[in-house]
Amino acid sequence: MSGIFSQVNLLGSALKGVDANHRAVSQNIANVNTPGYKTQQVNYDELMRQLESRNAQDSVIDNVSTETVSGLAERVDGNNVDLEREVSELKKNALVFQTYSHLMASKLDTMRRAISG
Amino acid sequence: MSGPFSAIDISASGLAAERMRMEITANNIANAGTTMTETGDPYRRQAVVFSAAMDEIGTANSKEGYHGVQVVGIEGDMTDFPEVYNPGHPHANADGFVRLSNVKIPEEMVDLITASRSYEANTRAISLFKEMVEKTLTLLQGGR
Repeated sequence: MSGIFSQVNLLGSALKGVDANHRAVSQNIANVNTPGYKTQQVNYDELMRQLESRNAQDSVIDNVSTETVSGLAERVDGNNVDLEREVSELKKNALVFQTYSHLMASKLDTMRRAISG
Repeated sequence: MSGPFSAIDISASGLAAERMRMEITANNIANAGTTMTETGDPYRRQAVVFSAAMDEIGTANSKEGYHGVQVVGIEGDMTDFPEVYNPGHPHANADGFVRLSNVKIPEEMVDLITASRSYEANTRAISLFKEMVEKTLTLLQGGR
């Protein structure tokens, strides 16, 4: 851990990843009837690697990459979006977002208390 | 179509596309009994064609590449028109056969249901995003 804002930066990067995932899932839902469309999601392995690297603690990461989800059943038109899966992903994502923002809030709260004494 | 609220644009494009599909389906149902159009044929079933909207770069790997969905066109269903024997019909041919529209009501009903379900899923995505943004705003206000 380096710097006074390292945790805030980490949480910021995590929130950024959650936001990107929400965007990917929204894209999936919008394309539920698009022939040949393949389900997308945030590349979590890559995101974790970025979060574990040294400079994630100095600043918020700038780009979250996405990937095609494998192992989903395709429909006749080549589309593999499963609406139930996407809606639950959306909800899970919102809960993860809530968790991180609570952590962020309490971190900032602690800082504020330390400053004002 | 980018910036902090682009997730809403993505879902909104989904809403627009599903609404379009709903309108086309409603038009098909309304014309299921149409036996004569301007072209001289019965009404031909219409279908919308969707495609995922991406950047020109078309990379699925940049989050800026997501622009939701777009309606690329409306195409006629080229299946044959069913014919029934009804010599009293004003549009019957010399043999007494009438060509009917190739709309199949059960299929259109299924389309209506899927369109409305997809529409709901998109509205759900918007409302969850709204909650997330509100949470972030309370952080700014120093709340919890």
